[in-house]
Amino acid sequence: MRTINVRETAGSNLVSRPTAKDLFDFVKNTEEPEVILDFSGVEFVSRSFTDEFYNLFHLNTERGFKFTMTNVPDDIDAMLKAVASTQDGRGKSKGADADVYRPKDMDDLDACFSTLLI
Amino acid sequence: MKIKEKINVNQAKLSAGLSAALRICTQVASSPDKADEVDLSDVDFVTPTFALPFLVFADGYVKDISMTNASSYLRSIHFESRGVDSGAMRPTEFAAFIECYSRKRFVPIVRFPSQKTRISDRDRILSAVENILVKQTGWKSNVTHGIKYMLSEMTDNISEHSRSEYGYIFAQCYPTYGYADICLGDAGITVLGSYQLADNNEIQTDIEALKAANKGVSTKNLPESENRGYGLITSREMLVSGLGGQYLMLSGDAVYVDTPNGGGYIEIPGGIRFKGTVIALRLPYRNDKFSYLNYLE
Repeated sequence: MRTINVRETAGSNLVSRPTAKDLFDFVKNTEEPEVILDFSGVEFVSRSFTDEFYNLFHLNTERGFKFTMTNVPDDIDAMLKAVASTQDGRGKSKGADADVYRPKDMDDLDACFSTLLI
Repeated sequence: MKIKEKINVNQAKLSAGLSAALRICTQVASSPDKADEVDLSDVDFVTPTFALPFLVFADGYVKDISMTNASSYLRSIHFESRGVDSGAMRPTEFAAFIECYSRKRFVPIVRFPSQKTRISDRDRILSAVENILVKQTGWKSNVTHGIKYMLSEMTDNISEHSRSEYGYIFAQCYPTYGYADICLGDAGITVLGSYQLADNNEIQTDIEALKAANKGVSTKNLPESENRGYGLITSREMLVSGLGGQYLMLSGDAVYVDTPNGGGYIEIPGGIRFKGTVIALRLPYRNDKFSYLNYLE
């Protein structure tokens, strides 16, 4: 089973969906039936990267692809768990229902901003 | 028409810059001429919420808008040149350029590539900007990680949804007051335009689009996209509830603001519409109890 160093392959600061796709394509192109993804040295993953990573790697697990992860930093582990727990869309729409203001001119707009304390 | 305004934006209110920019945009929109000149000789100080909305407006407006007589201050933030074209610079050239700002209190307006084919360049440029901001503000790692999360989600949204070839970032630090303002913008298709590309879209106005985006409704409209749309809402929660900061989002003719005191949607008066999206963040320097991991959902 081959170990793939994520930092050497994709970088230490993983912040975009295409980077997750590139990592997946790299792993797929090794044609290994099972790989170990070594996260040592990875400093930060964004939610977008993690979501794409989750969808690509887990979707393909259902198709027989096997992978395990090692040396996953605590922050990255927490991000993976958060993304896994929200795949059904739960938790959205928090706090976005607010009043709508339609000021008639720029002075009225400034008054709206003052009302909103911003 | 030549437009000349005395401008000295008061940084105390995050919205003050936007108000000043809108007043100039209104004059441009009411001018009968095919091209307008904005004379900047009476501009003393502008904030990110002035600069990026104005540049996005100028980029997308039907008429040519030229800027003249920029002061040395405006040239130092690269306002009149519409941002530093970082995508045209060699990596080491940009690294050397941006390092000049490590002891200053602002990051100049940086125009960065946002096409999917240039993701590596974008990430390298924004990482360099983040590093300079950390040097300027002295943000501790707990705050820095939250800011990296927010900026990565927002720049990824530009690349994923705006269809703009480039984005802007501009930051101004206020050490005396203990906060920094960061603005990100794009001259793209707006949030509404992005929703309108989706099948079975029912969103018709900019206000509806901002409401949907801030509720986490994905524009992708696909079953496997159920987990999309979290980036914006978790970033806002992190900023406002976690750090006690302020959030302002402008797209088309709508503005959404959120603060620890509450929030609201505002329709911009006077028929002014921006062909693009701008997000402004007011980020406190310190919050020892903050951990971005508490806001991932």
